[in-house]
Amino acid sequence: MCLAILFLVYFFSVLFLSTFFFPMPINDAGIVRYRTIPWMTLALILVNTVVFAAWLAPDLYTPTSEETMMEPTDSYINKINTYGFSETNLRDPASVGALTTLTSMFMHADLWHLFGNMLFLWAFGRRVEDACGAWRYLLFYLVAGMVANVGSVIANPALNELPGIGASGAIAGVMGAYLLLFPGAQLVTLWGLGTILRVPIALFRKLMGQDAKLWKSTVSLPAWLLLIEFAVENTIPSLETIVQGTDTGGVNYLAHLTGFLAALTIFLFVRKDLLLRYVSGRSL
Amino acid sequence: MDAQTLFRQAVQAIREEKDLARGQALLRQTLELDPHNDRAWVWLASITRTPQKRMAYLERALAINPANEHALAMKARVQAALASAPTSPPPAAPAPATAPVPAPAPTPAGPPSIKVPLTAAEQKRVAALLDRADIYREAGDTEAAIQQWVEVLKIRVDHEAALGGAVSHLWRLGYREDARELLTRALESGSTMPFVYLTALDLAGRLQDYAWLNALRQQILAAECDEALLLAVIEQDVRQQQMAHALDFLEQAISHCPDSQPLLVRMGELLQEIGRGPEAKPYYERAAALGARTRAGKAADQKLMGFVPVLTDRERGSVGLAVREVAGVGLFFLLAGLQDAELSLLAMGPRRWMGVLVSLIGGYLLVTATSSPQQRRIASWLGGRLIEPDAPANDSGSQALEEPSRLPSIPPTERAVLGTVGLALLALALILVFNYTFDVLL
Repeated sequence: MCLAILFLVYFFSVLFLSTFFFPMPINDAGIVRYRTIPWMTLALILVNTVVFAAWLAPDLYTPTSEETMMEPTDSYINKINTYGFSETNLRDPASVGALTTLTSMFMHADLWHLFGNMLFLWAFGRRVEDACGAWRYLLFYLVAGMVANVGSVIANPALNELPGIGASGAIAGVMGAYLLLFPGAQLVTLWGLGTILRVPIALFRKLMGQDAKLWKSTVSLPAWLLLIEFAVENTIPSLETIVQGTDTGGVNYLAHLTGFLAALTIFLFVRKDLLLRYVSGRSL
Repeated sequence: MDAQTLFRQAVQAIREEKDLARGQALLRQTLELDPHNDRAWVWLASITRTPQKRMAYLERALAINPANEHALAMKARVQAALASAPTSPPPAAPAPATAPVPAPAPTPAGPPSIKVPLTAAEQKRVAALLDRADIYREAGDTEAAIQQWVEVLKIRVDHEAALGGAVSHLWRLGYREDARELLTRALESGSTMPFVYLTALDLAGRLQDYAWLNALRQQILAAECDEALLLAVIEQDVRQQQMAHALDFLEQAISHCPDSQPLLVRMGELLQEIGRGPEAKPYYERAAALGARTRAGKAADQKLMGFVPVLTDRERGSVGLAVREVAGVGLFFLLAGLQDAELSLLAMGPRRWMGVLVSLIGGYLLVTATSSPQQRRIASWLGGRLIEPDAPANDSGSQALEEPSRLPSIPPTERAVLGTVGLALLALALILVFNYTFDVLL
């Protein structure tokens, strides 16, 4: 019980701090035209969560000794080396070879990595799935993830032997597709600073006799603003990697950027009628 | 004589005897005795020629009784007249009518052209006549007012205010044929002003002259797709709760002007208003297909957001759109083969390339079996037949194929075979593109 409370306090503190300065999208306020349940998005979230919770988390969060609590176990490291994606793994008999491009997409390094990715997948994927239909959306998701993996290796002049894991490349593709298809959409975000900044504006509007809510825990922002910010945020470190090369691990910005660019292939996967509407400048 | 008696005599002189000069003199006497009689100030204003003086009298009336409705209304009109023609000289004093003018005076040289804009002098004359007509009307002298409006119509045969005033008052006085004559004259002049037609339609309806009514409607339809006019007629029907007439007329209008976006959108709206939403959608689709960047196109596009999108036969029958989906499948296999070949296209070798090729064939079969079973020609070659309206095909959970189609669709058995073969080929392609990986793993 105590542990659960501690965990919740820790969870919300980190969430507050990480969303104070930068907005974090949590939902899409747009209309879902085809009125289908986004079951592929939900399935992807479920698979990623199950893979993490049932397969990776026991190794990651099992204390190896009293002194080294929460230290990754050898088993965890082995899994990363076997199923994570890297250029050397493509030919390493100890790994699953080129299949790592698919397996790495469903693995996450820790709880926050999983939580962040799945939140973004939910916020952006729901409507992209609606635009494509479930199976074409899955194919696009996998293609975007593979392009992200390939791009992160080809554009990096250094030989990066550290295996990469995570769905962020594929999700970046979904985000890019969202930007292409629904640039005018509004996203509901958690943004501490925005919430505080809105108070004096709402107060002013109230004084002017307009209808305004003084306090709202979420802020609606245009999708293009968030996505352009995401692209810029990933472009600068990616350029550094392209020019200098890096094999230091950490966040793979280059994979995010190439995944984002993979969004251009979304037009191979969207519904036929939606494509023709898009071409003729109509609303989707 | 007391002020009240003088006032009554003044009103009688103006209203009944049409003796404005005597009326004015009596009003002045009244106001000398009782300067707080606001109604007397209003009457005095109504027969005064100079707008500035009229305004001064009205101000006096309103100072005494700010709620005097006649004063307020007249003040607004005087202000408007002053604002629209600040340099024009004051209108001539209205000549007292000596006899009622029941019928419009005939125009000797035919109706004046509606194409030529009025000269400045004509505009001044029209303004003066209208002003005078107002004064007469307010004084209760309807016939004199009609005479002024008829004078205006001699200058501009379809002048809205004059025609409206003349026709409505002629109708009230029982001179129905004269009202009709004025309208006919305007219509014969080639006027396309919506109110002329609307007034004529209204009159025809009141006269129960259905032949004229139908002739007018046909005349409107024959006019070169005047959307404003057509829509105005429809709105009139809607206001009169004659939805069936409105829909019927709109249908005819659309058959005359099939590319009119506003008409198509209005048709959709009317159908929705009467609860026939599903029938509205094709009209919105047609309007949006004509261009989504116009105002009506945008409106249609927005209306369509409220409907579940459907596939048209153009999309269903397109081989290109099906091949596009196959390209997506092929891309997946190409990327897989590329990674199996250590990210070098040159090192992919014949087996992996064969895998990509097989994936394209398998992908095409799968796409044909699932999302594109109505591709033109191909569906017929594969024994396709038209889907009965009560047995719509389904598109993997979406509602996209629920609209009736005129394209043949591949029968379910053949689709199942195609799908199975397609899946088998894709499995084979997977083995081929992951050539090295499967060799090592297995």
